[in-house]
Amino acid sequence: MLRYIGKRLLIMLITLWLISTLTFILMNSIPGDPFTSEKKLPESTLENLKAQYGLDKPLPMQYVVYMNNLIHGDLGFSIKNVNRSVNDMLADGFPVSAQLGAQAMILAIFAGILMGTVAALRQNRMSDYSLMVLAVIGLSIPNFVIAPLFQKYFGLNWELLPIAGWGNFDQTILPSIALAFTPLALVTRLMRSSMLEVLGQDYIRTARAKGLPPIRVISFHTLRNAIIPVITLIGPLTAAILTGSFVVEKIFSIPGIGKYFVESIINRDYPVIMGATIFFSAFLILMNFLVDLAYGYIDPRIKLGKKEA
Amino acid sequence: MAIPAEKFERAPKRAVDIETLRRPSLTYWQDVWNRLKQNKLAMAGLFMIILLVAMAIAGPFMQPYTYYEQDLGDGKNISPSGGHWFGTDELGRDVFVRTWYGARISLTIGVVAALIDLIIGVIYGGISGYRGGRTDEVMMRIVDVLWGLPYLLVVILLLVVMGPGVLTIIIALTATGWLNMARLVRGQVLQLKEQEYVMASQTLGASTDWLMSKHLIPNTLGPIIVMLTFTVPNAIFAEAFLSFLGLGVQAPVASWGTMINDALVVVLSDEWWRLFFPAFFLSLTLLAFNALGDGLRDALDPKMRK
Repeated sequence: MLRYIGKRLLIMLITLWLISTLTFILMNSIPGDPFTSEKKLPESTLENLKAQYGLDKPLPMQYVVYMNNLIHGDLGFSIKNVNRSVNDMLADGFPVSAQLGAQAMILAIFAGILMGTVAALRQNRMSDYSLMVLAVIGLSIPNFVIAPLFQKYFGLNWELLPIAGWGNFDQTILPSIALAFTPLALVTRLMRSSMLEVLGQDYIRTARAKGLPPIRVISFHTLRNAIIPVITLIGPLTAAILTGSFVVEKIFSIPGIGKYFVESIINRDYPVIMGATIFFSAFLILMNFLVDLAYGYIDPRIKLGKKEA
Repeated sequence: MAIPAEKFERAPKRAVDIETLRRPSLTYWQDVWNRLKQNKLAMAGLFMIILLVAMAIAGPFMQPYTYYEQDLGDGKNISPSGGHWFGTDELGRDVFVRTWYGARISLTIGVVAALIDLIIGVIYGGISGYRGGRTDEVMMRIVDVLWGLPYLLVVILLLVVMGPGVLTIIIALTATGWLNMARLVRGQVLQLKEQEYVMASQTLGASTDWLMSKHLIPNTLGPIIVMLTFTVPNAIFAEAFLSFLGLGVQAPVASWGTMINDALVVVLSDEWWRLFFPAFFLSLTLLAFNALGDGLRDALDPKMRK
């Protein structure tokens, strides 16, 4: 177990090093520097600017400084928003994005488990078929289509919920649902197949045979075992919700990291793109690691680090 | 203790010859096809894909406009009518022609990216699984490290650097996209190479190339096809997502993603057709591929046989 954690940590570190080096190389391979697109600046100003951002040093030197700063958690400064550090922007946006993401995640997991369970218990009946068709549709409609439709109908036409913005709880409802849309479909499908598999097990038959009430068989014997695989989905779900938040935050004008990130891409604000990419990557890599550990802990049948058969 | 001869009775000759096969024998793929045909959703998906491809080819020729031709006079924002079946956009471009022209771009990106993933993945995974041992160890460590990289973030990063365009999008999508396929093929080959028929072939002196092309790859074909069917919609989705970030194909070239992105600014106004048509056909394409993939997975999996 310790050996496994050690190995995973090592791979995580290499991956992080790779993504930070990759961003550094890629950003430096763009022709010109960040100031070429601005209006013509006097030579001296340009030199001062470059010195301020450390761009006057040779490339290997810049790399050392960059990596050193990264290790100390310093992601540098935004070029378009003068005097804003990338750390500040991430710190500002994180609570907002985290709340939105958590709400979407909770919605997707709970509703998904419920819908998947219902579908499995009604296997091959009308409600099963309709839920599964609904799930495939959910997988197929991208959130950048869902989100504007929600705005138009729930916000504008029916005036049920605010169209955009952030602050009150009712402003979080539409973006959370839009963000949870695809993850919900994924959880539903996984939950259904996992539920069906557990329902076919001998111990379920035993539980039924000894006369336990069906509600008890389902909640204590089936559900508890069927939920376990859903944990493995949390990693991919986090990734889906994170990339989805770029879209949803932009469309609903929510001041989260996703919106900053999209704006930095449109403005070609390279330090912010780099910093946010590294931050997102570190977050996702860590999440995957924690999910794997939790899975091994919750299901003792999973032997972490053992070669698969 | 001999048994007397009268205890024996000659068995009557059977009226039917049980040795002959009464039903035509089916190959594996015929069997798969038969099972797939039972699945209405999957067949609808397949039919839809054929229709979409046909329209992508023929659609742009069905009206006398081009995808880039503008009409800044009275031709702006016309709602769907006899002249412009899907209406026009804010530059007076015909949405019908642009939708099907966009289908070409989106489908091309999806299919080409999936094929490149397939080629790299099969070669890499095949070598890794077949050689095993140290080679496999090293190759899989590389995959493990790359696997940790968040897919869409790497794609975004690459596109920011390389600049938008159909070719760069395909390169960015396949840069780490082949990992899935490599892992799948490696796992399958690892399992299959221990099978007796492979050993028999090896004993008879078959070369590596022969084993690969005649035994190992054909037997992994099922899961590979399923993954391929899911890779196409993922790539199409990724392209549309990138367009949303302003990293899609550049104007005047249209893809569904760029058309949706352009239409988002007017979604709250009444020009619904500008968002509806590209969004509808994008979703329909994703739906068709997902449904077909689900159906294929069930049809190819012998465990699902009833």
